[in-house]
Amino acid sequence: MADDPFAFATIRELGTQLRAKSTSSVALTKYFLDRLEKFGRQYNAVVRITSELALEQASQADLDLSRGKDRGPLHGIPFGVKDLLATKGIPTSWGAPPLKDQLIDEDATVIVRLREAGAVLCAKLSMVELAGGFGYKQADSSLTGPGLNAWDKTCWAGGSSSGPGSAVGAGLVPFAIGSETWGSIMTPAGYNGIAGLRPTYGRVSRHGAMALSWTMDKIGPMCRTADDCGLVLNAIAGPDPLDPTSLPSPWKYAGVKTSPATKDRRFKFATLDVELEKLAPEVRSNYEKSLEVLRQIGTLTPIKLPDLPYGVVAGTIISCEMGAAFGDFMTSGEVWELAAPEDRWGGFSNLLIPARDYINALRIRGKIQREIDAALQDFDAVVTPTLNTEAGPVSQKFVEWSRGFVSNDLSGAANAIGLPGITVPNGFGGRGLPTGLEFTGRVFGENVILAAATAYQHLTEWHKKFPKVN
Amino acid sequence: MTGRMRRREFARQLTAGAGGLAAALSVSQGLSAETPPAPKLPEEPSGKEEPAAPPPEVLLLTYLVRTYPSDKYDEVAIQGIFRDIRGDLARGKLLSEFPLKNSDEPAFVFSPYRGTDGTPVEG
Repeated sequence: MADDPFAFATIRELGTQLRAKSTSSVALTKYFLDRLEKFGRQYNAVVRITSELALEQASQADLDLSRGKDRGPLHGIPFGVKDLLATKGIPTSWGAPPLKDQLIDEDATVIVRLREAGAVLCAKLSMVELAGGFGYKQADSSLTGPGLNAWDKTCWAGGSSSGPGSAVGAGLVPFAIGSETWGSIMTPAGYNGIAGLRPTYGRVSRHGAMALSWTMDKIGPMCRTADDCGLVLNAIAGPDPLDPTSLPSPWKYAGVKTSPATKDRRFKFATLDVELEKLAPEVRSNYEKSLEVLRQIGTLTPIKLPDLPYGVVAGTIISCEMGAAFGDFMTSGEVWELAAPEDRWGGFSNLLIPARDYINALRIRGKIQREIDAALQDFDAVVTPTLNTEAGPVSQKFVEWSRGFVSNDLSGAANAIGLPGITVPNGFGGRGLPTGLEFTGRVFGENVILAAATAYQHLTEWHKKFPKVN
Repeated sequence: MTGRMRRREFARQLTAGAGGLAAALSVSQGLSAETPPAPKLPEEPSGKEEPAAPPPEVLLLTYLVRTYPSDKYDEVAIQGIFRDIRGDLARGKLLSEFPLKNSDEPAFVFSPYRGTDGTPVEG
C-alpha cells in the first residue's frame, strides 16, 4: 500500500480495514468521491459522479455490516463503471455527444450484481464514443475529451475503456468495470499499469450494456491486481436469463477466500513468435525479463498459431454487427454529431457488407475455435506483451506512435472466439509509462490465468508502483 | 477535394445519379492501395466511346450516398468511406477464398424458443 491509506489499496486491503472497523464504507466512499471530484476531470475520466446514490449505498453497507450481514469481498467498496452500462435514473452516454442525456429505464445486470454484492457505485466513467466501433484514429474521440493517462496527462489513457483505466490507475476508485470487443480492456489497463481481465465470452451478462457486437462484446473488471479481478468477476459472473448468450454454468473464483496458493503450482506457458521488431525496446526488454520471472513458476514453450485469417474474421463480424446495431443511428444523421471527425463517417461502409461475408466469417470462426483450442490444450496460458509501446501523446494520431498496438495475431483470435485474458503491469517504457504482460487462456480458463497472473505479481512489484496524482 | 469540384457538389453529383456515377467512376482511375486520388470532374461525354463498367467500389459508394443522402459528406468523408468500402471488398474476397465445406456451419448460437405459458408440449 502507498503512503496514502486508501487510494491505491487493493479490494482485500480495504475489506480488511472495513471489517476491522478502522474505517467505514461511508468514509471510504467520501474519500473516493472527493478524489473523483478533484482529479476525475483532470484525466477526462469521469462522465458523472453519483454522489447521492453512493452515499446511500455506503450507509446501507455500513448498516448491514454492523448487523452482521456481510455480502462478501466487495461489501462497502466504492467502484466506477464505463458509461456503457445502463443505470436506472442516471444518464448513460455511451461516450457519445449526441447521447449525453440518454436515459435507459433499467439497470444492467452487472450493476444489479455489484449492488447485491454490497459495492458502492461512485461514478459513470468515460469511454471512447460508442466503444470505438466507428474507427477512431486519435485520442480525442469522446464526449469527455481525450482520456488522459494516469501516469502522464499528455499521453493517452487507452480505449475504449479510458475512464476505468485512468481512474483505477490514478487511485480515483479501487476498481472499475470495462468492456472489450477487441482490445478495449487490455489497452487501457496496459497503458495505465493496472490489471484488466477479459472474461470468456458469455461469462458476464451483457444485458444493459451497449451492444457494439453481440457475439464479441465482453464485460470485465479493471483493478489494482489480478486477485482483485478475480474477486470482482466472482460477483458479476454467472448465467442471466436476460442475456441468452450468457454461459449456463455459474462461476466461482478459486481464490475467493484467500488469494490463490501459487507457491507450489507449476504452470505451462506458451509463447508466441511475436514480431519483436514491432516492439518498443523497453517493451521487448520488459517482456524478456517477465519470461525469466515466469520460468520460476513454470515452463515456457514457443508455439505458432494456426495460419487462419483471425483479423479478417474478427473485423468482419464487428463491422457487420455494428452496422446493424447502429444502422439507424447512422442513417438518422445523429452520427454526424460524434466527437471525432473520422467516427462520423467511419461506420457507413458497414451498411453495405454482404450477408455472405458475415456468414463466411462465422463459418471460419468455427474453425478458429477448434484449431486454437487444440493448439492451447497443453498449456495454461499464452504469454505475450500486452501492447507494442507505452502510451503515446494525445496530440498525435495513433499511427504515429502505436506500432499497430499489438505484435501478434492472438488478440484478434482471442476476441473473435471469446478467450479469456488478463494483463498485469510488467515495467515501464522509455518515457516512464507502464508496460504490460498478457496471459491468454483457453475458454473457461479464468481461474488458471488469474492464478498465473497472481503468481507473477507475487514475484514482482510493478503493481505496487503508483503515479503521482495532484 | 480539388478546386475543380467543391465537396458538396461532389456529394450532390454522387447523390444525383448519372453525373455522380461518372464522377465517381473517375475516382477509380489509378486507384492506389492507401489513398484514392481526389475525384475529378467528369469529362463531357463525347458520345463516341462506350462507358467502362464502373468498378464495384464506385457502385457501392454511389449506392451509399444516394440511399443515405447528407450534406455532411465532405472530401475527407467520401475518401474515407471509399477506402473503407475497398477494405471491406478485399476482406470479403479473402473470406470467399477461404476453403469451406458445405458442412462448415456458422458459429452463432440459436436455439428454438417457447415461452413458459404452462401449455403442455405435444409430440
